[in-house]
Amino acid sequence: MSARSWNLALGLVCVAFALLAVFVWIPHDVSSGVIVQERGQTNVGDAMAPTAWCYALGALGLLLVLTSWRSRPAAKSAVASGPRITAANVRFLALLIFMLVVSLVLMRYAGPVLVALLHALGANVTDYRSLRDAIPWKYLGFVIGGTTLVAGLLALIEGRIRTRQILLALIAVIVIALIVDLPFKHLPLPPNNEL
Amino acid sequence: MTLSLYDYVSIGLQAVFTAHPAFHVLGVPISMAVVMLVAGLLTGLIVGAIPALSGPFAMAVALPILISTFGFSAAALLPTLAFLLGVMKAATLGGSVPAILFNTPGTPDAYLTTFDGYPMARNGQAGKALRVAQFACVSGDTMSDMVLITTAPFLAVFVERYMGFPEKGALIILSMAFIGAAVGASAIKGLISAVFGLFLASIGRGDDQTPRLTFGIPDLANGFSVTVAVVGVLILGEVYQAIEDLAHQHRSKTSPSPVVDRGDQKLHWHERLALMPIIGRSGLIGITVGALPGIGSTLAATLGYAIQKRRHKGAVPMGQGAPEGIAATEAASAAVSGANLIPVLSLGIPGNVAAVFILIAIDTIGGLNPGPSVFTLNQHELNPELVMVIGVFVIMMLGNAINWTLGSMLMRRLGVLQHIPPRIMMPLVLVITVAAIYLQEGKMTSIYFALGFGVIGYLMRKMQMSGLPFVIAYILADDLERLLRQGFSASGADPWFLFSSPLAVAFLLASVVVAFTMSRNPIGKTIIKNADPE
Repeated sequence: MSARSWNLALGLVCVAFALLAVFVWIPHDVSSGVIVQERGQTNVGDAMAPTAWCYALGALGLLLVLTSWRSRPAAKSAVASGPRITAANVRFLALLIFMLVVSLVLMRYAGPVLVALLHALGANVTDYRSLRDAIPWKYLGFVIGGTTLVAGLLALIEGRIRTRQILLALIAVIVIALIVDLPFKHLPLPPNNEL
Repeated sequence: MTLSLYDYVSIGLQAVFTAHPAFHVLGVPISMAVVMLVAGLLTGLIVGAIPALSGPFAMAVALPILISTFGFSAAALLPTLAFLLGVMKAATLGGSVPAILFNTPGTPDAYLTTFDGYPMARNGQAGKALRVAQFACVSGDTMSDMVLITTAPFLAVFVERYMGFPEKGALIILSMAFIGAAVGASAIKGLISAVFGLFLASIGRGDDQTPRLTFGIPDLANGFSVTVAVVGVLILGEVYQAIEDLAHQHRSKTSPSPVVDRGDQKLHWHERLALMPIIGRSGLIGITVGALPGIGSTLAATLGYAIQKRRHKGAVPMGQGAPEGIAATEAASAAVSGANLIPVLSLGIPGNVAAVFILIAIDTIGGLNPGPSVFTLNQHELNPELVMVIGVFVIMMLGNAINWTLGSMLMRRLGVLQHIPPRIMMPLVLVITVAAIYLQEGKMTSIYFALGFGVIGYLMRKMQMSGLPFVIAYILADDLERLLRQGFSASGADPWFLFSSPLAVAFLLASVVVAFTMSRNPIGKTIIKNADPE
């Protein structure tokens, strides 16, 4: 796809988003209208601002469509540096999102799941909430999730998984956890504030 | 009791130097604001010298930690701003180190410093090149701060005297039109970015009992926090992009040959005096560019260098190791930072990424509402906002003084940071950012939202849309909507209230002219080409 086509697509997405928001989202998800009557006074309602921004977004999208439509096709060299989302970009983004999801799931659930597991095996632990301020539990979720994320991204960048990356990630994340935790005792690391 | 300006300055100095001591040295209290300023300057020097990082990265990560540490009291504002201002000031200085020693700019605006800095280093004059950079950078920064101190109060008073709801609303629209049109590859896409920011900012917030546009999700009832949106689009989007670039990059095995000092490395007073006119000219360029929202230090550095090249009469040709080239570039880019705070303090409108984080800190902590009230010299009752802003000015000048001394001691040693590989830095920045967001927000959902905004920022970069108009619009959205609501009510529900005064009409006409002509004339094209990417 040429840069012109990408701009055209972006313009169409803006127009479609604006139409959808003005005719479906805003009417169904804003309790007041564009203009409201309150105690005999005419005031601006909660729907005014999002509606106005959608009109502006739609108009700009249309303008982008028209200017892209009328522009001459760019030279091949310009296409490479123009706006575009390639299959490689989509693959990268999918992989990145996968790594983020896995890491955050581990960060969020590693501690509670491990406590539940130990409890089931008969260990003298009750629930994660009572342990979340104690070492090593308070670091567990952040270190496991953070190490997974850093090691995964290092592997993505270098194109292969190596033990060295995992060790480096583990040490770096422990250092970050200590830097955050030691001087700021009252600030819990993720996910301890909510559990 | 009558309070004079002298009294206010005296109280402002006390607020910086003696209030809330962090520790004592030989019985002398060292205030938390001074400690945080030094910490910010050191951090700024370090992140500026690491090629993969920049000042805004450090400010984004530090802001949630600072807010969580110092809280939301008035006493928290000065230490927090001291750290952020320290980072902002020192990052430009740090960015020149790898540019001179390794031909690798630490920050985007230091790219032009490589033109003469690296040739000087190759000629055995690395020490002198670093001293020229430091002299020009700190001089430009100091000039800029002095203009800020003398200009911002008058601008704020002008705004209060001549502007009502319609004019203020129209001025915000003009600022966003200028930023949208000036930043990025296309004016239309810049404006789309700004309007998209306005729309997302309207989620959750409103006057009704039921939060708007939330799909019934309780975590969205108060909208996306400003920190989450700004850090996501600006910082995480950039981190994702950098990780992808690193994954695709075939790293060059060749590294620049080490530089060796030969001969006199001191920068003598007669050499400093000879550089002063160049620094003065470039400083004025930087101040002018900095006072305009959205353009930033890269354009200032480009203009400073181009003008010096045209007028150059020095012994060494430009591009082959002329100290005048380094001075012209560094003074111009450093002079942007102080001037950028003129619209922040007088109007509450940020002009660049660093100013965005300063404004978020001011808004989040409270105790200082940018605008005319800040500069009101109340003689019968102490105006704490004026004390606070005098404290900010004192911190900025103290930061310059420390940069003069500490900067010169550290600059050469910072060269070692060049060897930290970006492939390790970027994943760590991501984890630190995740931790920082959690420290401020205390919710995993805030991390999810920030990472989601990072995806938006990444896709915007792919479509060559700048994230800066998005975040500035996001920050100003609440103010704009409030002004429009109040203006509409005050005018007796006149739908044309925005066009009710000549000044407001002039601002709106200027918005249209800027939006549609910026990319169609040579000056506008130069501005767009050299505007900071973020």
